[in-house]
Amino acid sequence: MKKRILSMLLVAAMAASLLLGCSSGTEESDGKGDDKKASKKDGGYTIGCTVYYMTEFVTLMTEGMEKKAEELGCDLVMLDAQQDAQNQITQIENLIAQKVDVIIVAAVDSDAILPAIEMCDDAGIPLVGVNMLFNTEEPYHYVGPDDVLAGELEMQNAIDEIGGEGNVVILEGPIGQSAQIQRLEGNQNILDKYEGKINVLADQTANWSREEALTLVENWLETFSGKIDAIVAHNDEMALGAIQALEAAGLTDKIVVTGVDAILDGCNAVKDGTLLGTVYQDAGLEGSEAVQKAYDVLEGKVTEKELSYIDMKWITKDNVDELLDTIYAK
Amino acid sequence: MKEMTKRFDRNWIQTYMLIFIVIGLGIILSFISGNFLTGTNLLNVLRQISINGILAIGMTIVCLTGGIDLSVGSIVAFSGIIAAGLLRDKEYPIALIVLIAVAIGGLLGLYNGYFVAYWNAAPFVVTLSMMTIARGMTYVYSTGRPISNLPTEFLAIGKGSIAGVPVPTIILIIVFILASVMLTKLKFGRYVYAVGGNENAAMVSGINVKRIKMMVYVLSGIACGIAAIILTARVSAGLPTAGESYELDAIAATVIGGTSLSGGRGRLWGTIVGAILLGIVNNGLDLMNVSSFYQQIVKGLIILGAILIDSKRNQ
Repeated sequence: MKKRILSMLLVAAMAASLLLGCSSGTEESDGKGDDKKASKKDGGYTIGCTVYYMTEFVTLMTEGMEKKAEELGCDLVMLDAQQDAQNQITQIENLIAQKVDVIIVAAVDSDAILPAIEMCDDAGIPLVGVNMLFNTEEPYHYVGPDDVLAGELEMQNAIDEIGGEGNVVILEGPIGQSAQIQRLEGNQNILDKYEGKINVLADQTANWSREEALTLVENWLETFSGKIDAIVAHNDEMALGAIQALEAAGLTDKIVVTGVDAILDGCNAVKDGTLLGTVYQDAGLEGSEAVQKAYDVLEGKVTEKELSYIDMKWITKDNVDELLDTIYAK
Repeated sequence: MKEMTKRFDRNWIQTYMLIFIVIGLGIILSFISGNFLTGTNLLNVLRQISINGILAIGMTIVCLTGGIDLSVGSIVAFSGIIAAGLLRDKEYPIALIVLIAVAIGGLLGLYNGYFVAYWNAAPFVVTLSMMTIARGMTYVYSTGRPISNLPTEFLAIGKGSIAGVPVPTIILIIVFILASVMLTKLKFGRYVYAVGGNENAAMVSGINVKRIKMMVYVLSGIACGIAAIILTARVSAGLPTAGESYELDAIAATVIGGTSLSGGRGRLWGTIVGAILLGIVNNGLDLMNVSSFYQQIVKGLIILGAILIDSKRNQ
């Protein structure tokens, strides 16, 4: 008897969870799935999208996508691969099975996404990359940040601040990710101009993580005590970790920190003066441009596969309020 | 007589409820999304569960002895990265590289098994240590970078099909059959159940308990090696981050399938149905455009439901 009650409970729980799933699905989509055909008549398409992980940045990007999709009368199916490359391939298979019109991918991994190109080709569904480059020689549709420029901006400004001479350390993104590769390339472009004047004492990855950067910088402060003049971080999270380490050591006034991304915490740190500056990559604009490109591809307005970059902006104490009053306004 | 019907009832519910749930879920999903019950999508599901299915088979065998293997995700990453490295260098034939990857999985499993069996160390801790060691070795070997440019013949393992059935699914079926034979037809299987049921009794009756306990981790490691090959072929690259938290999915499939984590009781086919259930839930919720935040909640509820049944059964 107990078993029977239990099994009924289980079934009820499953049904409930399913309903929960359904209702939330319809809420967001406003009856898309079934009406896909119907919505097509007013020019609307179904856009499938899988992103690597719902970070603060990606959340802003998906908001930009949703806004643009609504404007164009398209449905957007949004999936989160949770940093698992194999899961992302699975989701692309599912989007293809769902017969979406176009797929937008923010890749978990620049290499592991390559099978998706062929899968989409076979299914006759155009593929648009966003935010993360694909590691291929073949041309493909892409909208993303100019990360080389970002790397140049943060390094140049850090070096200017310390007077063109001294020692820097670099906190890199996860090795092999396109953002890390390109931001490092940008860093290096500037470093080449200062050969002999600027020393790179250490460069290591802290995997975009505030905690990892904190530990790493604590150790560096110990190892290179008194020698570090500037810390160049590939994103704000790591820059903030570095700042925490500096605060604990009472060195905030002595060492310059720069970052990339201009997340809310980063902007606040710029305003406080603990972070010299950061590079703003307009996540919402990036998402919106990606959807626009996907739409243009379907409409036949974009035929050539090419990389489009969105502009990057150096944010300092002088202009940080523009961001804090607009996208980060409560 | 009453006792018998009661026992029959209980077994009947235990045995078939899971299948009913899967079928019921399938029916519901096919009503909600027109794309669920299509040939391509069902094959997709079978392809998608193959990695977790194979890992869960190894996990089930380990759990039958009362153990647990937390290192499967990391062993997958290490076997996969070595395979990718060898494939990129193109010095050995693909078949040999596949064997090497599987052997590496078995070897790392041997580490787990040796310390669990002969040092009487807690499986949770030993496999936790392997989990970080294998992940670390993966980063060392790959210097943190993905290894790509693998030969196309190898990639066929991930995306190819034979007579319409995806290759990963075929591999899963073969692994399942081999493991089933091992567990039900060979002496080894009876010993595994005996060790998990009552270790002392098994020892008294002359079973080499230590060897059995070591072997199950080797088998789990071998399963990891096989899964690593599929994963590497599927994403066409060796990834240092591959397989993260896969142990949890494997444990989930095992538990949903009715295998008791305290050992001695469980069925392999239950594990496969458990893996299918998880796969259908993921696939179905993807098709229904349900945010992955909800997907995780649903998965958690299913695991809870399964463990509740398990704990009731123990009373």
